[in-house]
Amino acid sequence: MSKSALVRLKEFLANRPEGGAIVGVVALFVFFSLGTEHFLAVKSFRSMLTLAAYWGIAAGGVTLLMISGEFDLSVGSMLGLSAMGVAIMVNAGLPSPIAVVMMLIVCVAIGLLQGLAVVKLGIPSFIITLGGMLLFRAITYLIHLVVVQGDYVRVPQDDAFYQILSYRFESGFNITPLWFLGITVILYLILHRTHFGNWIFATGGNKLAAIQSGVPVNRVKVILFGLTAGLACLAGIFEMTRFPSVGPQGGKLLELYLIAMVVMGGTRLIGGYGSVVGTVFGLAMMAMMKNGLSLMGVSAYWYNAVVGIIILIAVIVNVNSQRRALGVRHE
Amino acid sequence: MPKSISDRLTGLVTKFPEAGAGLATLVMFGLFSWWGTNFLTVYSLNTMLFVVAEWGIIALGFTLLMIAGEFDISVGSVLAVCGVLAIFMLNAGLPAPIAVVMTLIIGVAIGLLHGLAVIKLGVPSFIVTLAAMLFWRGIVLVITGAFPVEPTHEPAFFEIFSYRFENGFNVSVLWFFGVAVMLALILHRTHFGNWIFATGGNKLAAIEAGVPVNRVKMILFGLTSGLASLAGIIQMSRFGSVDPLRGDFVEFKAIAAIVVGGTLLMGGYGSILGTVFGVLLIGIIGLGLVLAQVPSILFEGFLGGLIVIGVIINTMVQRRALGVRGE
Amino acid sequence: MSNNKGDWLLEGRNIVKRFGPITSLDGVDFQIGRAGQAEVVGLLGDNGAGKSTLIKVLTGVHPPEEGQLLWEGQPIRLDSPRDAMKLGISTVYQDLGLVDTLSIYRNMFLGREEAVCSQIGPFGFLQIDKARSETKKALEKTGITVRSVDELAAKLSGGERQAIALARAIYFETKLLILDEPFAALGLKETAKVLEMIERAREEGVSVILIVHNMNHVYPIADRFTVLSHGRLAGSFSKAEKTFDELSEFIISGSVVAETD
Repeated sequence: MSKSALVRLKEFLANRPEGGAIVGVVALFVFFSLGTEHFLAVKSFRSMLTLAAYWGIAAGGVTLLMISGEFDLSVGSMLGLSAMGVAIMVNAGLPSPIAVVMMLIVCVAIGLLQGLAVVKLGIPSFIITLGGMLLFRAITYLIHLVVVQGDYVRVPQDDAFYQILSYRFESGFNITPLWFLGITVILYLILHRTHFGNWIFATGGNKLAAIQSGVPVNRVKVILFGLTAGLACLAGIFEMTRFPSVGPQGGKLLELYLIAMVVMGGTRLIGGYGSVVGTVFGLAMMAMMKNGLSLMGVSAYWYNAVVGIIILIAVIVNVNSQRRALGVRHE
Repeated sequence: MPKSISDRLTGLVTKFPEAGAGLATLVMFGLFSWWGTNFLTVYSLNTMLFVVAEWGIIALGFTLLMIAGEFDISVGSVLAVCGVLAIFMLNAGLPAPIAVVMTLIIGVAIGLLHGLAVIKLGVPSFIVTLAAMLFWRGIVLVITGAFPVEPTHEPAFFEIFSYRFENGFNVSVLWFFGVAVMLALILHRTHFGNWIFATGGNKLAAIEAGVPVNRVKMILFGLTSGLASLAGIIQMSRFGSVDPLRGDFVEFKAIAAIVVGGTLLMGGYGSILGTVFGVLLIGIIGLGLVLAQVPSILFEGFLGGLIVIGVIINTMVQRRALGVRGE
Repeated sequence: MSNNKGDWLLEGRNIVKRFGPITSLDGVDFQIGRAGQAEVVGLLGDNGAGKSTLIKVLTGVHPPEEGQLLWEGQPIRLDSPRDAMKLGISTVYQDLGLVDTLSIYRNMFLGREEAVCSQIGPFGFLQIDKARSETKKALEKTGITVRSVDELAAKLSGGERQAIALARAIYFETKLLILDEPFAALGLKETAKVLEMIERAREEGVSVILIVHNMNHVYPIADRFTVLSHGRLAGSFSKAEKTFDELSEFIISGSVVAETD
């Protein structure tokens, strides 16, 4: 009896994009729980949760974009730019809600522009957003240099609006994970339950077929670029509210880690297949590694090496399960 | 039908993907020479040359890999690892030539490992080399404990890689151009080069025509990492030490140079000469910015802007030249 | 132009299409479905004759440089495949237009999700159950059986994919069905099944344009033939006017003949 349940479980996991990631999360959880008793402490969960929430808000957008077949490497830089931008605006006297909304508008506009460049000019998103990544980072530093002469920008911790974004309960838990959950649920619904989500999968899975079926693929992609940028901006603002001051280096190289997390979660790099839930699991794996390794006393130098290996293993598992689910028809 | 100027230009670009980059390089050179005071001195130009030569060598190998349709963003980490290993071997008493050869072999082996993962395991090269980038960087940190490493003695042998003349010229530049010429010959004059274009341009057709695409890719992965290790040796020779952050960012500069030079990201189209121009262009702009005393962080921004503008121009021109075939 | 019984279902007059310096279609006339009677027309011609291009113009993928399209007697303009779909023109291309990574029922309603959606704000929320049951019904109606409508399209055989693409076209009240090389990757049994489906479509009042290379497939089932050569209309015949051999010869000879009729 238990054997057939196991077989059914294997089948269930193999047919879902998140399958491998679920196993990965469980495995890492067990490993770290055994590795150190500190892992199961409330404090450790709290830090993992906060980390995952901050990454996760940005990762959701990256996931949808990747499923549609595109990349956005400028996510980290936009995050840093947003954090710095809002902080400076607020310091200059702008009320925080207005500063946040303005920054969101700017970021979404930039995202839409990048999307337009990709669909109208036919430039690979990888390159455009690589350029964007470098440009926005430089702009952030420039603003930092010119406006505040290189000083760290103070972030008032008692601002009422900021409290909505990252209120800290007595237990020490932050409200940000709830935001992350809400955003993720919305993205899930969009992806799996609306016509737009069908369009996203189709655009990434077989762009030609999608066009022939009347799917407005260009519109889909541009919208997703705008969405990703907006979420990155939001993530930056969330992160900014956590600390008393902010510098220009927020989110550096985050985009590469985000891509890794999304792919670890089962989303296919070339698009057409994936899930937001999987990304959550990928996030969990990363957060566990970051937290668990340091709790186990593993030197920070090993962190990179271990993460690299885990990413590779996770992706190998996912690629294989994708092959089985999708069938290796054309190689 | 009389050929208009734009038709002629696009005809040029079809045959010479590097045309755009070459033009831009000349323009930029002229601009900075006229504008900057110290730009046109022999010393500063030589300095610029050898600075870019170090990562430029990597860009050359990476170009071939990209034409074949694959990626390797671990090159910076491989550079660091190999530099460190070279020093360790020296300190362990190995004669310099042996250390160098072994380092190169290790570099190639690392590349072959990446290629194996891509081909045998079916994982996209972007992900494999992303993981590898983290992994090798981690190894470097572990070995060095985040401290710079120095050789206990500096054999004269290493002067082959980075001897510096009084006027600032560095031998490493010769290495860069030498590798460039060699790779250009391979790409445009040998059957292997044909295979590279085919593999990237239309893998299925290439396989059907009998091209051993997997072998081609493996060799190119090995080449790219091997050149990364060469770059690591050259850098080590110049600085006399290796620090764990060496090679950071190299992959982005390489991609920028390659893409600005006219090579297509999806493969099948590109040129070594274009990459050379791309490298020089970045060097020229870097030199100009430094002399204008622009804060170095802005260099990133210029790089980003350059990539975007360069690719837009290249793409638009290439599209007209290659024709929009049934989009 | 009033919509009277003498009009064609779809008509293209003097269609000219250029790609840069190349003229793909040089003043081609095409008609199908006179007086509301469904018919099957074979679109024939050698490679490069312009068959695919003509189809793309007729279905809104490319706008023609010159020429006029008429639907049920009324002049129309197609700016995108969606416009053509709204009129009731469905196309099944050689690459089948199925997304491998989507399930069968999601493929069925791809691009036409409104049929199974309830609109909430800017999003149409899919009624998954309805989508699945409608898909089952559509497949049964056209005589196809699949293991489950949840299967990913990637898992289907060539014939199954063709059948699903066809079933999709027929389900959505297509008036004109265009098939581009539908038999290219099929075996004998599957080809026979698809021919059967085309027959059934005609019985249900759906006109069909068939582009095939192998005349053996199209000759038995077609009512008329339109032959293109080098971007021009070489001739248009009903089956009564030319035998199989005469038609083959005509196509092979490849000469540009002035329009008959």
